[in-house]
Formats: sequence, structure tokens, C-alpha cells
Amino acid sequence: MRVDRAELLAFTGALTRRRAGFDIPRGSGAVELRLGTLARREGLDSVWTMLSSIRRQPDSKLAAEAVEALAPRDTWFFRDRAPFQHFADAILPEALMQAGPTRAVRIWSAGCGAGQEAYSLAMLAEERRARGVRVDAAIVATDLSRAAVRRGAQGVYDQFEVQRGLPIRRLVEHFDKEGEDWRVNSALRRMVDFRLVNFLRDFSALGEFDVIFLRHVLTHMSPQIHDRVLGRVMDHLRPDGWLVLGPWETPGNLAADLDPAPGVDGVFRKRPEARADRRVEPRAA
Amino acid sequence: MKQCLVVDDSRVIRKVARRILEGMGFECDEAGDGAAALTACRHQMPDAVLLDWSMPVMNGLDFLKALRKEPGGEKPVVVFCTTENDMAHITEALRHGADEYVMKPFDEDILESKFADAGLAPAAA
Ligand SMILES: C[S@@+](CC[C@H](N)C(=O)[O-])C[C@H]1O[C@@H](n2cnc3c(N)ncnc32)[C@H](O)[C@@H]1O
Repeated sequence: MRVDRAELLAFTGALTRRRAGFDIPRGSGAVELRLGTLARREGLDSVWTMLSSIRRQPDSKLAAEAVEALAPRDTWFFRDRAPFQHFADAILPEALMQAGPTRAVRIWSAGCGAGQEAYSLAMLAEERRARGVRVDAAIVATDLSRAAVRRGAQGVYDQFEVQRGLPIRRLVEHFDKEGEDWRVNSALRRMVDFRLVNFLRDFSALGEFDVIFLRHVLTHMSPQIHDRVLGRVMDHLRPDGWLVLGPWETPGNLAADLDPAPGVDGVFRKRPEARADRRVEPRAA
Repeated sequence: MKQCLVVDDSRVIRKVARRILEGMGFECDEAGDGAAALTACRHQMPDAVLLDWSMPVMNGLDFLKALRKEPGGEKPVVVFCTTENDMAHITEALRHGADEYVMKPFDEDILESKFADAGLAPAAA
């Protein structure tokens, strides 16, 4: 069967944008690479055959799986360092003070991938606790991808993954060796709750957070979707709460609701008077 | 320019590591075992040592113990780079003054990340 790749690529780009907001990587090679495993599992002779079949049934389970497989997923521990340092030195202590003795500080790793970001934050909370400070913190980690959420909950990483961004002392302190892999210890796993969330669907059940890490997610979205996703995520941030974005990610249209933290890139504080009605989209139900 | 001594009994590994480290802005010297490395350090103390564990003549751990007793030997940042990848080896290396630990096989990302963790180079973007 002769398939028009350019046409299928256009369809695929529209599919991921509509379902999940992100743009697919440029070029057919990248798409083939991301979808190869899925096509083989389905017993199909090529990624293009699979995409043709998905085009005929865009509401199939396979279509959803293809969207998940196409999502950008590269991630590592303590990615870009500075925001995590700032979390440990400034954000967490102040958030704990703000929360007081009666409630936990709630932290959201939004678009968490396989969980490295959430566990990095958990390690920092645990290290503060080890210094004798009372640290009542709960981390919710969410992703669109079932595979990512499953991996995060297991907390098992291979030798390459534990050597990207993770200092050896932290590996020793927070992980146990399991065969050739490494597993995050149970104290950290207890601190992080992994859930399936698509930013374009309803996630009102997540509640309010003191700190939101939304990193290396918006950068893959077109400006219009970017603002919509950020707006919906920000609805779950308390007044005075912290939003942490990735490098080159900006608050776009929501800049008026956020104050940049001095001395560190990508960290913002939500203005107490931030109003949902200033935004393009009405508040999520 | 910062100096790094690359210690490994495999010439291939030394060459690969050296290329990466030079790309990170280090000036490199090489040694094929712990004894040769110790001689090199006595001659000139490097800023960093990338260190294999199992080597003929003198292994990496024995080199590290000896190095830390030398005058000025507490200064170099020592990064193990070895196929020994169990908790016991890692904790022993740390106890004897290793700063970081790379489990082979490694690549450029890992070396850069580990050297940054050891406080030696700017973090990779
Ligand atoms: C490149 S990873 C970034 C992971 C981590 N935050 C970091 O900074 O390294 C982007 C993640 O966002 C997730 N993602 C993309 N679009 C999403 C959406 N609409 N809803 C939820 N998660 C999404 C992807 O599945 C992927 O795991």
C-alpha cells in the first residue's frame, strides 16, 4: 500500500496537538523512532501502516498509545541544577513556614516523565528532614503517559539513568541496588504519589499546591496551547505559591499574575491578586 | 588550564576519556596503573584524577589511599571510573576520599555530569 508520509505526518501532528497539546518532533525519522516499538508490538510492517490505521480510527486505544509514545520524554535527576538548589535553599523552607504545623506542603511535578524530577524533590525534602527539621511534604507527580507513570511508581532506574544528574552520594543514600538496576528507597516512594493526568483534560481533583514544577513541557507546545495549559495548571497554585519553569520557558500571557524570583531563572511567585478571569480561557470546571 | 590525570590500564578507555575531558577544557596526562599514577602525582599534583579500580601493579583504591597521604594529596578531585558497580565498592571508595564515582560504561553526558557534581566543571545544559 502506498502511503503519503507527509500527509500522515500532518495528521499525526494535528492528533498530538489536539489530544495532548504538544508538537511532534520534526522529520519522519524522529517519528519512526518513537513509534517503532508500538508498531512492532501491533505486528505491523511499518510505522506508516500503523498511522494510516490510526487515521481511520482516531479514537482507538492505539491512537492514545501513539500519542503517549510520541510525547517528548527525555528527563534526568536534578535537571539544570539551579532550580533544585533554589527549591532546597529558598522555596521549601519558606513553603514549610507558610504551611505551618497543621498541613503538608503540597508539591506538584507536572509532566513528570519517568519520575526523576519528583524524586529529586523528594530527596531534597528527605535531606532537610535528616538535618532534624520537621518536613511535612507531599509530592504529586503526573504525566500523560501510562508507561511513565508506571515507571515512576516503581522507581527503578538503570545504570545510565542514575548517572545523569545524580551525585553518587545521593545514589548511595536514597537508592537500593536491585540486580543491575537501582530502586529509589521506600521512604522516597512513600512521599510521591504518581497519577495519570492530561493537561488538556479535567484534573480538578488534584487540589491546590504550594509549589509546581512544570519544566520542559511547555517548550514543546505552540504559544496558544502553552498559555492554555499554563493557565489551567496555575489554577492549582495557591496565592503566593511558586511556579518553576524550564529554561527558555516563559509565562507568556500569564506574566501579569506572576513575579519572577530574583537571582534565579524560571522561578515565579503567584501574585495574591492573580485572577483567573484575566485569561484567554475560562477557569477549568 | 586544569589538569586531569587519566588512570586506566586500558589504552582505549584512556583515549576515549581523554578526548571527552579535553573537550571539557582539561589538560590530560595518562597513567596505566596506580603506581605510575602516584609517580605522576608526586611530579605534579593534578586538579583531578579519573581513576579505574582494577589495574595491575597498584589498584585504584590503593592509589587513592596513598594519594591522600601525600603532601598536597588531599587536593585533587578523584572520580572513580570502573566496572565495579555494587554498593560495597562505591561506599568503600567514598570512605577513602573519592569525590565522585562513574560506573562503566560511561559516555560524555555522564562524565560531564559527574565532574560537575564533583565541583569541577560548569553543568552541561
Ligand atoms: C521532556 S519531559 C519533561 C520531564 C520533566 N518535567 C523534566 O523537566 O525533565 C515532558 C513530559 O511531559 C509529558 N506531557 C506532554 N504533554 C502532556 C500533556 N498534555 N499532559 C500531561 N503530560 C504531558 C510527557 O509525557 C513527558 O513525560
